[in-house]
Amino acid sequence: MTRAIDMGWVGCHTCGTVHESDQTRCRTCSAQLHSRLPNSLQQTWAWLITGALFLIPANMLPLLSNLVLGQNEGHTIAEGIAIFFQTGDYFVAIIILIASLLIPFSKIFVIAILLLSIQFRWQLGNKTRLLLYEFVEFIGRWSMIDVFVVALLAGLVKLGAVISILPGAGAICFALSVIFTMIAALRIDSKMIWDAPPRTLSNDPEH
Amino acid sequence: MTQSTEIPEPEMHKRKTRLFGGISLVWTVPIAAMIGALGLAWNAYNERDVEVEIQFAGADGIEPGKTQIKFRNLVVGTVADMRFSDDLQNVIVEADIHRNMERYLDADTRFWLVTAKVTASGVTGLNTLLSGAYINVDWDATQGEQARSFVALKEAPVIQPGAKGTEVILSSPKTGSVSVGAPVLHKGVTMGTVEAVNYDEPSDSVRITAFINAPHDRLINTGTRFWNASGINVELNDKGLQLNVGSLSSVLQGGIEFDTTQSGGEPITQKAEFDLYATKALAEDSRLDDNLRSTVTLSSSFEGSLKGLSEGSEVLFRGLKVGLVTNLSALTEINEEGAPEIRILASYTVQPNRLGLDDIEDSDETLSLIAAMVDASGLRARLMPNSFLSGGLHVELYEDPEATVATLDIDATPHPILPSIPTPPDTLSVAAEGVLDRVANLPIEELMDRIINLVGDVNGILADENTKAIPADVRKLLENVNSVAASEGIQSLPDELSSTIASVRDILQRFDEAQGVDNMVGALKDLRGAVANIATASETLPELLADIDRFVGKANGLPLNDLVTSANDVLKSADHFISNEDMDKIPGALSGALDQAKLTLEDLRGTVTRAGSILTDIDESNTVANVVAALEDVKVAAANISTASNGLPKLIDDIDNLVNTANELPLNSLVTSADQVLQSADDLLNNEDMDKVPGALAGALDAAQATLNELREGGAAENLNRTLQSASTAADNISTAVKDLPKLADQLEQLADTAEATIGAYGPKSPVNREVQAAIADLRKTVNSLNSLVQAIRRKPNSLLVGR
Repeated sequence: MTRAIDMGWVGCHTCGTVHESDQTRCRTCSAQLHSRLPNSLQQTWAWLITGALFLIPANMLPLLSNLVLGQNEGHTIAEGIAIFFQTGDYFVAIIILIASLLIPFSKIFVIAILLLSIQFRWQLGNKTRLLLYEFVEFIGRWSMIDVFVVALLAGLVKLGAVISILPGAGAICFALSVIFTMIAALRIDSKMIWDAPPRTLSNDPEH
Repeated sequence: MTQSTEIPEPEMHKRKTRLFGGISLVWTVPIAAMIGALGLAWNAYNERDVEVEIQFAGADGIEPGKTQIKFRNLVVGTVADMRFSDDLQNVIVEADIHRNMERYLDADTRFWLVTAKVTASGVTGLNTLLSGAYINVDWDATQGEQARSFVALKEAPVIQPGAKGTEVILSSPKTGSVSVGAPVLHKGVTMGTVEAVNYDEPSDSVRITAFINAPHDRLINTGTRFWNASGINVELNDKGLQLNVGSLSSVLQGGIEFDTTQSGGEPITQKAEFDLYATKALAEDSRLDDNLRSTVTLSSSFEGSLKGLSEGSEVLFRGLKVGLVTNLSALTEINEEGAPEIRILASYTVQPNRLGLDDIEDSDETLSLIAAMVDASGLRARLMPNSFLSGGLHVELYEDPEATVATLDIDATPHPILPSIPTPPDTLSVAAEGVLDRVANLPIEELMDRIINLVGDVNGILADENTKAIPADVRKLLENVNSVAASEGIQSLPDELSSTIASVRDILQRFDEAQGVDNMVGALKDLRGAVANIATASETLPELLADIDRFVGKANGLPLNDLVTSANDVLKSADHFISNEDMDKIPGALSGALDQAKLTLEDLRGTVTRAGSILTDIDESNTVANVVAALEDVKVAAANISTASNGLPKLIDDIDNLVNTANELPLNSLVTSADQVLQSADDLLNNEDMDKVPGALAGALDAAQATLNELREGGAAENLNRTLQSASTAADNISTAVKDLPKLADQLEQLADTAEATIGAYGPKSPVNREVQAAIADLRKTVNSLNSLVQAIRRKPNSLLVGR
């Protein structure tokens, strides 16, 4: 597979205009030209680890607390799922399970796999890597569903002392975790997927 | 890879500034997050909750993870879990207490469940209806030995946690109707609350823990008395029937009232013990019980019925209350004939300090005193009726000098036994029985017969003609009496009497004013003072004599011859003077005058004797007070005289000085002067006019004699005598009048007896009393029903809401 860098071209990361590789600034948008995002791997790792760290308190602290008649009652994500499951709301339970537990964890897991495969040049097909990357891109936007729910409830249910819902510390941690993993996903330079995969290179007769 | 090396690296890669040899700054983000997380984790570990176990009887209202543990309404923990105790008798609540309260978790920590409660004192914990029950915790600021396992209180403590005040423990043989939460009052103001009512098995009494709020606890000292002040108080006494009803709370829960009846009590410590008296009267009576160390409990077995003797009956000694009957019990013993016999044993206290014997230190001393009295003066116990009306009995400690020999059985159980003697037959009730017997034995029927006969006779007399004539005779008699009474002599009698009395009064007053007695006493005082002064003066006489001696010595040396010659001449002239005829008459006149004086004096003496008897009469009348006052004056006067005569020694001193001065005088010239004086005297005597003097003197004496005669014959003394006699009669009348006083007193006494009989109608078996008892019984039933309702509500407060 021939890459742009092999042809002496460099694409602007901002607007996509192709330049000669000796150019430093984009003619169209004046952005700095990089053949690859600098320190992409390092930065991705850093944001990913931060996101993973915040995921721990996000799951241990109550996501939201409902104040019923002055009694404060908080629930973590897992507790919420269990409650919905017990009350028979399987649909809601499964949605929350997927959106709040499976997606964040799998996202972190997938990014980690992707980074590892790039860094250590694992023998993964470029297609597989691309699929993984696209999965991360696709799934990222759904991660915030919990945070949206909490924000909506907190805004809607405010009846003073009778009943009101407050975002818990878990919601903040969860939101931060999602944000950090999104940044991590952004820092991945997708071009690196095609950078010298050993098997691909060795199998490529053209090089 | 070979290809990648061929890739011309864009220049911007090189321009990028790199720190730490290619490590991106982004790494600070996860590092910061990590540090923050670690810090939080460390913090959470440090402040992790302390797990404790609280044992409850039941788990009503407690929910794991939800029920909170509060101290002063601030959450200090949460219930984590619940399980049964191993014996399934209790519920163990596992709770997490905040770490910062850990140091206060000592054995004194108290937990109790707070739920809504409806009691007689009010409704509490309403907020828990919505929020659910919570567990309240109370601990003090002192840090004792740590504890992690607790037993919850069954009920919330009555005293709010942290309240300041003093706890007292009241012990009482009966509680009356005091329940937890009942008020402790002083002059009607709530000053504390009953915290707990417990039964104390060893002493078989009820121990009430009461809490007196600060600052009222200052009122409590060792002299304080507590008594049961249940809400309804019925008093029946000579003032009538009194019904006092306290506040609704005290009617339902009872109440305790206190008063510091004694001054000078000592301050008390926490949990001081007091007795709870049944009534205010008993509490006030107990002021004398302070020195309980000397109190002993004795027993005596009495023969016959003990009806009327009860716990609380009095024990009297010579009419003074020395104790109370505490217990009545039966006792079987084998008598001399070998047959079992039941005797009733009455136990009673004896408090010698009630007799004022405060120096007795302990009960042993009291016992030895009683034992000595049993031996020496025959001290015995006997039953005596309280009074004819009330019919109760009391124990009297009686000193019977004729009692058979007996001793105090000190070693007897449960109490030393004081020998008893039977009730004497002449007691009130026996006497009353005798009176009734005698009344029953009266020959009333014969009497009635006689009365009927008498009435018949009287009838006959009245029917007689002569009897009918009596009224006319009587009327005539009355007319005669009237005419006599209308006569002038009789009518003027009162006036005369009145004037006589007035003159008597006049005379008495004059006598009083004349202060005859005073003068006499004063004269005597004078005399004594004078004698004393003379005695004092005579002590200085020797000196005076010595001076005179010296004076005479000097005089001896004087040219006396001339003087003697002059004197001689004087004497001659005197001789001539004396040899005058008229001089002879003087002795006769003097003698007559003296005789007159003597007679007058004798009359006076008679008068004085009368005066003496009058004075005794006066003594019996109220004039004595006047006399006493007069005597006071006399005393003052005598004192003045005494002061005055104190000058006598000084006078003698002056005379002494005068003599001394005289000693030093140029006596020669004096003698010459004397000579001249004597010559002048001689001239005077030789004067013709001098011859007339004796005649004039005799005339004057005659006149004096005539005056004395007149005085005697004028009967002044006799008038005085008569008047004094009248005074005496008047005094006698006063005395007679006084004799009527006892009669008046008797009438008053009768009146009092009638009054007593009336009061007796309020006696124990009177209809008034029955009505009152029935009313009280009804009232008690009502209160009991109320009480059970309150109990039911207290046990299940939610039944009000749920309807169970």
